[in-house]
Amino acid sequence: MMRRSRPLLALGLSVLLLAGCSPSSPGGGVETETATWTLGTGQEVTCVRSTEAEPAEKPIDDRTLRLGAYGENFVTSTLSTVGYNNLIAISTIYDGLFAKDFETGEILCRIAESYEFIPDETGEGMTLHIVIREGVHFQSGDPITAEDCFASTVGRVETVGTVRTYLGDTIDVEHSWYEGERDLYIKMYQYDSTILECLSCQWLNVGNLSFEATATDDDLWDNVDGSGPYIVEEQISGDSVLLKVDDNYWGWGIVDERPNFDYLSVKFYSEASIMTIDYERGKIDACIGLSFNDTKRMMSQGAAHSSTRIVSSGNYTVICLPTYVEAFQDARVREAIFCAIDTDAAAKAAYGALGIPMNSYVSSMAPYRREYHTNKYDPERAKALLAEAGYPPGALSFYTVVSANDTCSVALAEIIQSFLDDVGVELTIDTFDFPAALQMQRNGEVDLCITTFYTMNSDISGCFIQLPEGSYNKAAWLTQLDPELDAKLKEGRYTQSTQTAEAAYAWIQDWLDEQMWYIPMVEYNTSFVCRDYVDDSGFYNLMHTRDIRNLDLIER
Amino acid sequence: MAKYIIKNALMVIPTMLCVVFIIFTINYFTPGDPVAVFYDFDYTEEQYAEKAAEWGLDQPFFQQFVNYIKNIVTKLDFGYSYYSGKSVMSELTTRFPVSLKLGLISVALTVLIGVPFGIISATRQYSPLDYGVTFISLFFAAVPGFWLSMIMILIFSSRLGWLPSSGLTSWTCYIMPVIASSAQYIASITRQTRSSMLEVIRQDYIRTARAKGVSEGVVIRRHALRNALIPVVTLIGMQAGAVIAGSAIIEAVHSFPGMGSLMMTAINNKDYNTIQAVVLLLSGVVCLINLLVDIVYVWIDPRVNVR
Amino acid sequence: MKQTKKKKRGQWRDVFRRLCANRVALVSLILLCLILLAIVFSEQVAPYVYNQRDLDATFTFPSLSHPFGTDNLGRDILSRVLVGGRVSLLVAVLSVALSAVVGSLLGAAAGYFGGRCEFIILKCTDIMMAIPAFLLAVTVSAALGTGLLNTALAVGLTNIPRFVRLMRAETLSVKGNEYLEAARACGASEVRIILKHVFPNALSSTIVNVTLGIGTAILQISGLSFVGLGVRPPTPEWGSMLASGRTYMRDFWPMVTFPGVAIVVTLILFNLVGDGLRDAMDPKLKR
Repeated sequence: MMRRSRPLLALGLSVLLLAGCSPSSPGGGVETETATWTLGTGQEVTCVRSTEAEPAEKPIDDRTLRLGAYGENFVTSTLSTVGYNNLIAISTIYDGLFAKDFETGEILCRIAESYEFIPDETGEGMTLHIVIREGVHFQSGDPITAEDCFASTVGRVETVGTVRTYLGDTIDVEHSWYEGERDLYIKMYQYDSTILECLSCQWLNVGNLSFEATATDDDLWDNVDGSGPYIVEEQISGDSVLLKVDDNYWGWGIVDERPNFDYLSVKFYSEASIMTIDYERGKIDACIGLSFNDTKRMMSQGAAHSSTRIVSSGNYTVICLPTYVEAFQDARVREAIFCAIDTDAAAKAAYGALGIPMNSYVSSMAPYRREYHTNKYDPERAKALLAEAGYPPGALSFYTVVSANDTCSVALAEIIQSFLDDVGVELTIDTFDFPAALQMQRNGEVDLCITTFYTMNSDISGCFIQLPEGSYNKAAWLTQLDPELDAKLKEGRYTQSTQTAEAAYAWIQDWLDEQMWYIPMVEYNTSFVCRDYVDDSGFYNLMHTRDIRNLDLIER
Repeated sequence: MAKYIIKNALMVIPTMLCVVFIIFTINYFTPGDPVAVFYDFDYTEEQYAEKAAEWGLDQPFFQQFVNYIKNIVTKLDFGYSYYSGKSVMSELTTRFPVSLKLGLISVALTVLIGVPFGIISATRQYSPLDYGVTFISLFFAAVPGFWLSMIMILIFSSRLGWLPSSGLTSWTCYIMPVIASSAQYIASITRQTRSSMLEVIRQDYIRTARAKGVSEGVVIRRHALRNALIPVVTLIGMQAGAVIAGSAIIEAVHSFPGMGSLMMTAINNKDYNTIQAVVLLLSGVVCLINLLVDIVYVWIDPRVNVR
Repeated sequence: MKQTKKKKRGQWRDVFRRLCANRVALVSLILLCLILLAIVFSEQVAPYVYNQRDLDATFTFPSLSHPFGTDNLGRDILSRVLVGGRVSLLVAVLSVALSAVVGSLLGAAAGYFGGRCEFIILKCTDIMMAIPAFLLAVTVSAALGTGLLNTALAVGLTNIPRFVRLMRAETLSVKGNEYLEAARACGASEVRIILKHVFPNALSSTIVNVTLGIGTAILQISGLSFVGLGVRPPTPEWGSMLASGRTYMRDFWPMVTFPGVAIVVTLILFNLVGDGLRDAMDPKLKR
C-alpha cells in the first residue's frame, strides 16, 4: 500500500505544480498594430494596440477608473514631491503653477495666469514674474494666494534636500519675493529660460500654507487640503488610495475638462507581475510601471482589448569609475573596463524590452545631445590594455554595492561582474537596502559605482548634476580633474546664447568620451497598459505621473 | 491558579523590555543614517543637526532608548516612519488588525487541522489514510511558504482565476496567504501529534485501560489525548510566533496590507522606527500566545506545578 | 576503558542496524548522501560553470543540453541549483553548528549548575524566543550585511534557544544519576563531568535536532535570500534564485520551479532521515 500510494501522490502533486507553471498559450491570436512616434519633448513612444472592433465591456461600475501601480503609497505632503516616492496621489491632489504638456513639450499655465522673464539690472540671472490666476482656491475653499505659492515653491528649496540638489543653484531664495495676493517673483541665477520646463514638471506643487502649518501627519495622509482636482477619499496604507473628482475644482473648463468618472482608485502592488494578473482578470483598468517581461508579453502576444505603451523616461544608468580609486588614474585601465563590457547586450539582458542601449553620455531627451560609439566591447583589447598597464589577470579587484530589492540593477551588476571576470578583473557585489546602498555609493565607499540618473526632464544640466566636486555622489566627481570642465558646465548653464551653450555642452561630452570615467550602460523606459475603454490619448509621461490626469474613460 | 497566571503575565513586561532593548540596539548599530535618507543625502550641517535633534538622534544611546520607551509607555507613540512620513502608530492601527487576523486564523487552522489529522493518523497507523496524511505533511513541512504563495498565485489566480492574487477586498483574499503561512506548520503539528500519540498509545496505562474494556474512543479521548497533547502544545506555542512572523514575506508577495509587508518595505528603506514597532508588537503577540500556552498546560497537564 | 569504548561502538552499531532496518529512512539517507555528494562536488558534477553567462541563450526551456533550462542571463539552471545547494547547505550547517554548540553549552550549564545561572540563561532564551525567529534573523542580517558568514550568524543566533532547552532537559534527566555522583566523588572537575558524562548522553537527541535543524535553517536562509539579505551575487543560493525568478514566473517557470523543488526535496530527505535517526536512537519508540 505504502509503496503504491507515495509515488501516486508525488505524481499528482508534480502534475499540479507543472500545470500551474507551464507557459501560458498565446492569447488566442489577438491581432495587434504597432506605432512609434517621437513627442515634442524628444521622448519616443511605442504603442501596441490590439485591434478588436468592439471595445470591451467595463465590468463593474462605470464611475470609477481603477489603476494599478507598482510601489507604495505615501503621505501626501507637498514636501515629498520629489525623489523616488510614488507621486500618483500627490500629482492628482495638488496643482502646480505650471504644467508641462508632454506631447508637445509646451508649458501650460495652471495656477499661474501668466509669466514673464525680467532681465536683472545687475546682469546676473533673471527674475521670473508670475501672476496668479484670479478665483483659484484650495479644496477647502481658501483662496490660493501668492504667499502660498511662494512658500510652496521658493520655500521648498531651503527645506527639502533633493529640491536643493536640483534647484539650489538655480533659484536665488534670498532675492525672491511676493507682492499682494497675486504677484510672485522668483529670482534665478541663470539665463536659460528653458529651466521653466524643468520647474513645471513637478517642483511647483502648491499647498495651503495655513493648513500645512497646523496639519498633523495623519491629516496629510487622508485629510489633505490640496489645490488640484482630486480629493483623497480614503487611503489604506500599503494597499490603495481612493480619489474623488472634486466638482468644485476651480479649473474645470478653464485648464482641464472634468473626466467621465467620479472616482479614481489606485491600487499599489509590491510585485509587478501580480499587478498584471489582476489586470488580465479585469480587476483594474490600467497598469502603470509594468515589469519588462510583462511588457514584452503584452506587446508580443497582444493582450485582448488593450493598448500598451512604452515611453522613454530619461532615466539612465552609468558606471562611474571614481577618481579616488588608484587603478583608474591610469587611462588604460579605464579603457580596459570600457572594452570589457558589452553594454548593448547587458542593457538588453537586464532591462529587456524596456532597456535601450546608450550611444550618448546624456539622456535621449536632453538637448545638445551628441552621439558616440560608446559600446567599445573588445575583451582581447581589454586584456592587452590591462597587461600593458601592469595588471595581469586577477590583479584587480573592485567592490560595488547595489540595492537588493531592485532586481534589474542586481541583474545588471551581475552581468557587469561576469564581463569583468572574462578579462580577469574581480568585482565583488554587495547588496543592501536602498538607502544604505545609496549612502555607501555617495560616500565613496565603492570602487565602481553603478549609478542611475533620474533626469526626467529635457534639461541637459540635470545629466551633469553629479559631476562637480562636492556634489552628493563622491564617486561621480570629475571637475577637480580639469578646471575647464567646471567652467564649461557653468558656461553651458548660465549662458544666454544657445550657440555658447551648445559649444560648451559639446565640449563636455567630448571630454567625457575621451576621458572614459563614465560608461553609459542603459537608458530605460517605462511602460503602461490599459483597456480600450480607457482614453489614454493624453498619457505620455509615466515618470511624473501627472499625466494620470489626462486619462479618462471613453463615453459610450 | 490565578496566582500562576498573574505571575506568568507579569513576566511578559520584563521580557518585552529586553526585546525592545535588543531590537533597539541592533537597529542602532545597523549601517545607514535616517537623517541622510530624509534629506536624500543632501543637507547642510545645521539642517542635519536640527533634524537629528527633532528625532532625538543626537542624544547618547541610552538616553535615546529611555526616551523611546517613555514615548511608548506614556503616549503610545512609536515615533515617525522615516520613510512614509506617517506616524508609526497610525500606520500600525490599520495594519495590525489585518496581520493579527491573518496570524490568528493561521494559528487556529494549524491547531484545528494539525491535531485531528495527527490523531487520526496515529490511531489508524499503517492505513492508507495514515500514509496519505504522513506523505502530505512530509511534503508541506518542506515547502517554503513564499514559494507556495507564488505557485498558488500561478495556479489559482493566473491560470484558474478562482482567487484574488493580492490586496484585501473580500474574505477570499485571506485564503491564499493563510494557507501559505500555515501549511508548513500544519504539517509539522500533524507530524508531532502523530508521533506523540503513537508514543502514548504504547504506554502501559493505555494497555491497562484497554484491558479493562474501556471503549477505544474513550481511551483515545480520555487517556491518550491529554498526555499526547503536552508536547504538541509546546510546539504550538513555539510555532505561533513563527507562523505570524513567517507571513512577512508572504504578505509582501500578495501585496497584503498587513504588518509583514510594512516590515519588508521598512527593511528595504531603513525605516528603523517602523521595524522596531513591528518586531515589538509581534513579540508582544508571541508573549501573549505563550501565556495562553502556559494556561493550557495547567489545564491539560496536572503535573505542572501551580504554586 | 577498553570496555566502554567497545560498548560505545556497540551502541552505535545498534543504532546503525536499526536505521538500516527502517527502509524509508535508509533510502532517504542514501538519497540524501547522493544529493550531498552532488552538491559538495557540484563544481565537478555540474555540466556548466555556474556563472557562465550566455546572453544569446537566455530563458531557454529545459532541453537535453540544459536539463533545467537557462536563466535570465543564460546561465545553466541545473548547475546553479547544484552550486546553490552548496551555499545553502554550507550556511545551514554553519548556522546549526553555531546554535548547537552555543545552545548546548548554555543548556548544559543551565541544567547542571541550576540556580541563578539557570534562571538567567532560561530568561535569555525566553526573550530570544519572544522575538519571532524570522524577524530577528532579518534585523540581524540587515545590521550585519550580506555574506555567507553573516547570514549563518543571523540564522544561527535565532536557533540557539531550541538547543538550550533541549540540552537543559537532557542534563536535568541525567543529573540525578548515581554515576555523576560517583564521578564527582572521584574528584572529576565540573567541566569534565559535563563534557564526559552529560554531553554523550544528550548526543542522540542533539543529532536528531541538528538534522531537523538544518532543514529549518535552509528554509530560513532561503527566506532571507528571498528578501535580498542572503549571500552575495553571483553566488547562487536557492532562495535568491527564487527571488530573481519571481519577476519572470509567469512567462518562464523553470527559474521559480527548480530551486523550489530542490529545497523541498532536500528538506523532505532531511526530515525523513531525522525521523529515522530518532527512531533508531530511541528503541522504545520503535514501531
